Amino acid sequence: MTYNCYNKAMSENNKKYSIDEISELTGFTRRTIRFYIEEGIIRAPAGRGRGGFYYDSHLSDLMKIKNLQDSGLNLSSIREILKSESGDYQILKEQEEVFEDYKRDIWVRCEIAEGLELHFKRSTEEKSGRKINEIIKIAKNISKEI
Amino acid sequence: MDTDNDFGLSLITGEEVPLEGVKVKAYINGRGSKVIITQMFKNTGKNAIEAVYKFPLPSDSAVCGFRAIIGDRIIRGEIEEKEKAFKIYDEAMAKGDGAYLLDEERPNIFTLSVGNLNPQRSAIIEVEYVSLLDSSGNGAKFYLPTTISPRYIPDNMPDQNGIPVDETINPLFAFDVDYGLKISVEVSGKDLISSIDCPSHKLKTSYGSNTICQEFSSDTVKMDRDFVLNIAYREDLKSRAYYFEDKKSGVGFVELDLSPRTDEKKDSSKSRQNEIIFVLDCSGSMEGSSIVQAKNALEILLRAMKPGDKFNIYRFGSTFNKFCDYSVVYDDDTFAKALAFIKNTEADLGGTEILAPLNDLFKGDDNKNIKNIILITDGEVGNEDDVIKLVKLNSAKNRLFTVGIGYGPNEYFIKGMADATGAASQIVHPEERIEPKILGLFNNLSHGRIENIKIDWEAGTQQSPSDVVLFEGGNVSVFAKTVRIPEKIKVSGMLDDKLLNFEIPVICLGEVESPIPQLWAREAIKELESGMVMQPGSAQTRRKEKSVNDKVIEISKEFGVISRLASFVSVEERSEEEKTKGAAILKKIPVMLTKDWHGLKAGVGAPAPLMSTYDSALISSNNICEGEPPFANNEVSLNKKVTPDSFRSNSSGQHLRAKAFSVNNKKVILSNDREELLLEILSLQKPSGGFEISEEILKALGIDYNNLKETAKKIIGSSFDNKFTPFQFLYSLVILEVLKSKFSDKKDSWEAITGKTENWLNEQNMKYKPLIGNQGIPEFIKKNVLPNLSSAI
Repeated sequence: MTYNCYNKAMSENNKKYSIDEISELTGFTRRTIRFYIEEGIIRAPAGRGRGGFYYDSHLSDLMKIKNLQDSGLNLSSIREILKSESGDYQILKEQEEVFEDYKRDIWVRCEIAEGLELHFKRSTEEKSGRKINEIIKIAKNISKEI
Repeated sequence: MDTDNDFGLSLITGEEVPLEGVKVKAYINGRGSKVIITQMFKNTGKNAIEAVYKFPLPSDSAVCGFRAIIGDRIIRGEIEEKEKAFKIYDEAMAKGDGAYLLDEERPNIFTLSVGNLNPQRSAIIEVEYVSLLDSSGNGAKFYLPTTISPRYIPDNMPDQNGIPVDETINPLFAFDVDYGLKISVEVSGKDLISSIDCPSHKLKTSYGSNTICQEFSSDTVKMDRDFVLNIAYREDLKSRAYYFEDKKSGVGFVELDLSPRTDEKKDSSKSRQNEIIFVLDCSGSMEGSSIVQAKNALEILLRAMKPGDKFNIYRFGSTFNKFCDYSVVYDDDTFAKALAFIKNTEADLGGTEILAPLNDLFKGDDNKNIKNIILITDGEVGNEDDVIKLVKLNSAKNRLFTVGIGYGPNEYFIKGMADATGAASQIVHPEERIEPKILGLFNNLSHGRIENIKIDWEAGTQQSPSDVVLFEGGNVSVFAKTVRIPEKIKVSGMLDDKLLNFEIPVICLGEVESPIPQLWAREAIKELESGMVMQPGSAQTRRKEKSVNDKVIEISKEFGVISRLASFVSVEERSEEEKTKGAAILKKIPVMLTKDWHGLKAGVGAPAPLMSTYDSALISSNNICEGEPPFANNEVSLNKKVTPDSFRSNSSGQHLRAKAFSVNNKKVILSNDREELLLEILSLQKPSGGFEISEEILKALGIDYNNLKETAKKIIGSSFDNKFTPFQFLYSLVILEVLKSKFSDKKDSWEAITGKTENWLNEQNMKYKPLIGNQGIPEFIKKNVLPNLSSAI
């Protein structure tokens, strides 16, 4: 499967996120996400220019970077890891079934406040739709009162 | 785009950039300045672009204006929280509108983003700031950096918000760029000014009715070095206070410029023993003129020390080493060894890992006395805040004086470290005389800090800065919000155990526009930012950090002043036809590598730097003048006639070293150069006190060497032994009397460092009671030597 085919398949099968949503879910600022796109660390959004949208694949790429950062790595080291893994990733991406399994196993970490995180499986989010987003918003509101 | 990875930098060659040029218009009045920087962009390509330009500003500037001029439209920037500002910018770009964003990365590094610049279109960006000049005595210094020197980023430095620090503060670099700088500086109060000199560039001068205007003598210059303009006023700057009411908010602000002067004579015999640690930056960026200048400064400082002081020397780069394991007592032997240690020093220690030597210095600090540290560096690091935090945590027992050198030192870092410990800093341009500045710093170190300064504002609140650091002879500006107009401001402080009291009447500025609220805001922000010096990790720290951040953003927005947490943003809404279609191509604008950085000969073809000087009495032939100079009748001045050539030879980094060793080679000293003569005299002071005898210096003073030697043979006294050398004693006393009578105007340069000679002479006097005939030696010198000195001094 070529990259374009993969992208098309993803766009048909996956949720679309705006940059605000993807920023909220990952904890990365809009500025940081733009920087990663400029540097080729993640792919550009689909659609035209900056107003494009993002897929689960963007989300999982960003969460992977986030997890590596949380383990104490800086971007320079993360680039090296991503580079060395890129072959594996490509295989995964080209094997949709394997990728779907992989995707279902992804745990997403969402920082609610300093020292407080919400963890949920990607498959759970798929089942519960936007409710996860609502939970995140409510949790953030409650955390402001702590 | 070709790139070269020398020194870990991406050096760009042959890239066409959308920045056409930079113009600066500066207005100076007393010790205040307003500056407008205009950057002109043009997209000559076929696709829309996003131009990103990193540029420097003085670290104390309050950036309070940001405008984009597109054709006949002026779009004013608004201050917004940094990420919100980016969102506004980003969304405008997504819509195809023009978008303009100015971020502060460091107090002296800014990033301008010009978004969606369509093909064949231009954009003019204006950045406005106000600042107070560094001032001392009767002098004020206007300083404008033009390029960012490459900053060394330690390997273990964490990313900021997931972005490497290198990306936020280091621009792309080029040996040469097509765009250049034009500058025009208008200095008000023509009749109050005695001289203006520009050690960094050659200028031409023109005169208005009350102003002196300085511009580059060539059309544009390369942006590869700081611009420096030294203004000397006829009289010392005086303490003063201004009240200004912000009509919009109804809030009053006071600016207090403190310049306390005391005529107390200092008793050098009472000054305490110091421990001084010299820390010399030997990283690669210091290669070239910087390391020569640094070694020169260190030698001057070593010569100025008192017998009995303790000292040590650190050299650092990627690693560090020391002169001795622990500080040693200063005497003839350790001085000679230290000189040899310096002589063998090169800028060959790699990166700029400054934390390691400082940690070594601070560890096991059980000494009760305050340790004085003098750091000589270009300050080209990216972990400024980590170093400043470390220094501040250790400020109870250490004072860190800093000397910044090179064509583009990191002024924020150099001042920030000194400020964190209540010490002083000096930045010396390579074309400036280093000696007076270094000796002035040494004076600050020995004594002269006014402690425990308290200011009674009558009705004042929110003073910024809350801790005032002021050295005798220096100036400082303090700001406060007030609820009503104060009549006068009372200031008290302690200087050498003596209570000082001052009262400064307040001048109300009425309807006049004033930047005082913005200057107050800048100081308040700076203080809030520097206050965050707690160990990271605790919940309390995080809560406090959030509350400080919120306060910084609130002040930024209220006063329209940029900060690290709040940016300027503006949006140019476009019609459908004008909107940018598709994604704009990112164009990072390279900046020119700082002259002589790493010893590289950057800027080939750039105009040669020539010192330019305006003097109220004499105008040098190389300083092009237009209009009427204020003192065309060649009023008597002690300054010699200045020509670029004579300055060149004096201002070489090798100056004092060459002179110090030239004596044995019978080098002739030009008797008409007072300042050079003074420095020559001082360079021959012995570590234990007294001066090495120099036939050349005597000749320059108009004293016959043989006559003086014969006179010394007539000295009588009691219990002479082989430790008393009459000629040495007489010579040293003559020199000291010459300094007192003929160089009283330069007392700041010599008084602190000749204390050891005064002590040495007093000891000899007490022990041997020397006389000539029945006269004391000082009386003899006053009657017979001083009246016959050369008229040239």
